[in-house]
Amino acid sequence: MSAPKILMQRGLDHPGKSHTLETYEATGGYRAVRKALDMDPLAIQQEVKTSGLRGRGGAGFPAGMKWGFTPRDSEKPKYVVCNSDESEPGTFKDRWLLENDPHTVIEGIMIAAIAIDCHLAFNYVRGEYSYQGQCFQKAVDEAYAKGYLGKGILGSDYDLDLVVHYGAGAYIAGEETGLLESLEGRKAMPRNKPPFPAVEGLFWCPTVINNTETLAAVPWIIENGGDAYAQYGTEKSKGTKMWSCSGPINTPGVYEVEFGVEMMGFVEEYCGGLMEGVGLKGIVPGGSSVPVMKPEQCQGARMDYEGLLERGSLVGSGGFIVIGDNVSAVDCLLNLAHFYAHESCGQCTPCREGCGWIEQLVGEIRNGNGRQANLTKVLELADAMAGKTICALADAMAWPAVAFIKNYPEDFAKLCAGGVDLEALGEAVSRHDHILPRAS
Amino acid sequence: MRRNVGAEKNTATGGTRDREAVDLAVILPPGSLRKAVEPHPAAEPVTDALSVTVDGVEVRVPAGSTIFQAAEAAGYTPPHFCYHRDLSVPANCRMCLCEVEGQGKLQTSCSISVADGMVVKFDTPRVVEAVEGVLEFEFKNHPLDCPVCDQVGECYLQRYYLEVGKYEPLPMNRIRKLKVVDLGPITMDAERCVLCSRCVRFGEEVTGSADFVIANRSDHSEIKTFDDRPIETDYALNYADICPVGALTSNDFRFRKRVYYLHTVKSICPGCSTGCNVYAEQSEDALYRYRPRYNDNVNDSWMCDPGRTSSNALADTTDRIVAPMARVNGALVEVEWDAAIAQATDAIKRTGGEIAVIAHPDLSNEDLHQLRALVSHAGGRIDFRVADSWQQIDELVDNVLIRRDPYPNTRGALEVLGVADSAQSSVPTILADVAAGKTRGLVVCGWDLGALGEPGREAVKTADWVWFVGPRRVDTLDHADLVLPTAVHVEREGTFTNHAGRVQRFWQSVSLYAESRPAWRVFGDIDAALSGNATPRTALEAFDRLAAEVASFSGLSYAAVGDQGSWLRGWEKETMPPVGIHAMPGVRRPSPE
Repeated sequence: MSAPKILMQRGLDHPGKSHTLETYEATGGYRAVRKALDMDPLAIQQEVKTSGLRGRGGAGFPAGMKWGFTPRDSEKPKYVVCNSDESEPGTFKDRWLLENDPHTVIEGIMIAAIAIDCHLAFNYVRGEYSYQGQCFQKAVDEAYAKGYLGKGILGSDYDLDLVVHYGAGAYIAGEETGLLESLEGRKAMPRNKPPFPAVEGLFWCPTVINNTETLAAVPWIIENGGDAYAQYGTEKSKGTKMWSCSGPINTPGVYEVEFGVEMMGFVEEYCGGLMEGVGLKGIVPGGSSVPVMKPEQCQGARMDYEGLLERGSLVGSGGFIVIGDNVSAVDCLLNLAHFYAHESCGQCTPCREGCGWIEQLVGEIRNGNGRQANLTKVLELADAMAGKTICALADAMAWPAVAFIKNYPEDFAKLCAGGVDLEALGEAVSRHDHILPRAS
Repeated sequence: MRRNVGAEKNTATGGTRDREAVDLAVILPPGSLRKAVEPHPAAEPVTDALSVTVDGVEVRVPAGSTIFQAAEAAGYTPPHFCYHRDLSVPANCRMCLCEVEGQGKLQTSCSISVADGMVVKFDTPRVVEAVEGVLEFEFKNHPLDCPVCDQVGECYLQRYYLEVGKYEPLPMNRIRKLKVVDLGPITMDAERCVLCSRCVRFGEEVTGSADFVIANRSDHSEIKTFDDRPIETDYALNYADICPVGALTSNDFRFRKRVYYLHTVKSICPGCSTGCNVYAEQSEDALYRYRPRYNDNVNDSWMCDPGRTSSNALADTTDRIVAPMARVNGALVEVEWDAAIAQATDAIKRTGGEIAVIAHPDLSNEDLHQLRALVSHAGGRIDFRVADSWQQIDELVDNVLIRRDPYPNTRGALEVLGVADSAQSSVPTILADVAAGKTRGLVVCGWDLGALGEPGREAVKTADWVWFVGPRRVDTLDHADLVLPTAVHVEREGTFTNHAGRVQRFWQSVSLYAESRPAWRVFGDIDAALSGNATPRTALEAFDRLAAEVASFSGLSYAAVGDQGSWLRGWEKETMPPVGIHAMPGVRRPSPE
């Protein structure tokens, strides 16, 4: 497994210095954006399309295609927004980028701006990331001081301003339209789509909104060409991905690997294997929102968009959560339910009431007051929530709820008063597990 | 039990007795009776129409319509809380879900625009199951206090749950929120709220007062005013209307009557020259409330609080004149109508010369036309412009609905009485002539002496005879020789013409009070005795005579005016802008602009 380090090499080679403009330029920084200034915007978009770069925020939408949706002849101003509102439990890759290589993100934003003819860009940083936000702000200040941002960037006649904006601590502000609402000064309540942000986004103007990791990959792609990037990864999942690994593993942290590596091999090689005395209970590969995988699903699973979907889970935002066998699935689900019940924006009925209800039902089980009816109700509620709301937060609650009950019924059975008829529970699961993501 | 919610024809009043508690709120599961809805403006055939099939019914709707509008055109109103045709579309209640052929996920019909050839289904098990699910969620934290809730009978939640509820009793811990918060005109119960955000959007988009916000997140979300302060806008009671549940109820109407005892008749608010379309609702002959009625040429779905609560003043009978009265030996005594009419006719014949008539812009077009006919046969002069407000007929007080002219039919009076061309009121001259003895008979319609001012006080003293025609006792009666009691507008049928020249019908809601009569009949009877022209038998006939004789009304009829009104000839307008401020960024209208 010889993985290229497209996003992390600089940080690994120059610990403690990689965030400075000096190091960045010394290692080839701001070359790509100079190249981009001489390129036709459509050619930049084409290069990103060729690279096969897909959104790293969770949905996996091809980035070049997203840029291509912005109208060319719009009279309105256009905006680029970088989504650094990384709030998914288990995901902390953007945090690494903002701390260690903020200039890559800035350069990515600059290239995206040039590609769609945008002159004002934003980076929306999660409110809790105050240190990371400061790191990024410092880098922005450095870039401004050198004339890389502002009027006539890099000596060209292209103007570009970059504004760092902090969120106020809402998970849902990471949803792209929720982020735009928040950036406009309102509550982060996701919008109905269509219209998509590419057509009517920030202040109802065409907007490209990409994840931090997505934009950070752009400078490399422009410098080395889309084809070079596309050589990494698998047929449909091109390039590399940063996985933020947590759980009872020996070396938790952020690791960048090519798409398509084998999951258990990744755990052994990068995560240092499981801690001594702890067995593997399951892995949540893509952040808290995606369905949990049992050890037998993990065995031989390819870590890319298609490979994980085949095994019933998703790449999501790359929050690789390893669960040890010393943890009860009830606790896991209760923890997640508590999170989603707290973070639902309260706009759509199913999500608003459903998340809290699931938390309540699982909490009863956890406290020994629950019965089998609680479990079947959770499944029913999950079914009634998934796919029936404006954004995917309801799905993000429903999928783990069904997956945890489906994969670890005995954990729940242990705590339910009056015992659980596992066969009946299995039937209930099979009635509702159609909501889980699956390869079509 | 499923009630028939179709509109019944109320033959007694000629109006449509509409038992619907709330506009367009009915959910119908597969196979049940479909409600006939009033055709939505979007349903009118247009040239660039798209063909959409809703549950097997093919309809043509204009490009840019939503699936919701197409479904309405096909005769089905999808269940909904958050959708309101005069507010933006947040699509957050998730009740109007439908299956669109070729799309995997269920779609919210209120927010998705139709495409040509689209096939939409509302009656599939999948959709019904989803709606059941949403309703179950709504009940998670909703108190089951229907017996003491004032919204019963016009509650969307109650209605939908009756149709497709799960009826599955579950023990639940409800989240407690604010209850019985007095917000001035409105009482708020946040626990009953389904968080549809209609009130939030109304405050932002129509009045601009932004009274409500949704505070907190998730299932702790609740509607609130800032610091629980009372609502100060003049349109607060619309909050009670648009609230689909009992979260916002009107302090004016709350607990006065269960709405299913109310009989609803279409009417017009007489509060100002805007002429908002309303439903007048009565029970056992007592008027209980007005509720705004949709008219996109006038008031959209809104009305102001002063106009709405004017129904209370209208229902008050303490100062009504009971029967015709004549002055005998210095005192007014009640007489029969025949005697009163005979006395009036005699008075005109005896006087011989011109009479002076001070009409009132509260009178309907029919009344004014009969009055004008009477004056033309008797000989004399007529005007109604006692107050200056007729000059401000179009002026809005607040950029929403309230206009400076407080009378409902100023435009009609200007047109019918033929005084529209004169920039000056002739009332001072008319009264001065009476005071100078040049004119000897004086007819005062409704005005009190305070309104008529000094010339009026002189005139009533000098005139040979003074008649008072109106519904209520005012100080003018002290000088009147003959008092002819007339009906207020909810007691009879007729038309008003609003400031913009829209002729609008109102229907009879309650019985005539005591001996009072519609003014057109009173004037018609006197005119008949004078000229031999038969009195019109109905308001319709009176209107037909008006249409035949007054140019700007030509071509109009009750049928043509209908319940949405019709422009006066020469006053036709293409489209009226939406009511309200609508200045918030990102505000989306349900229909294309």
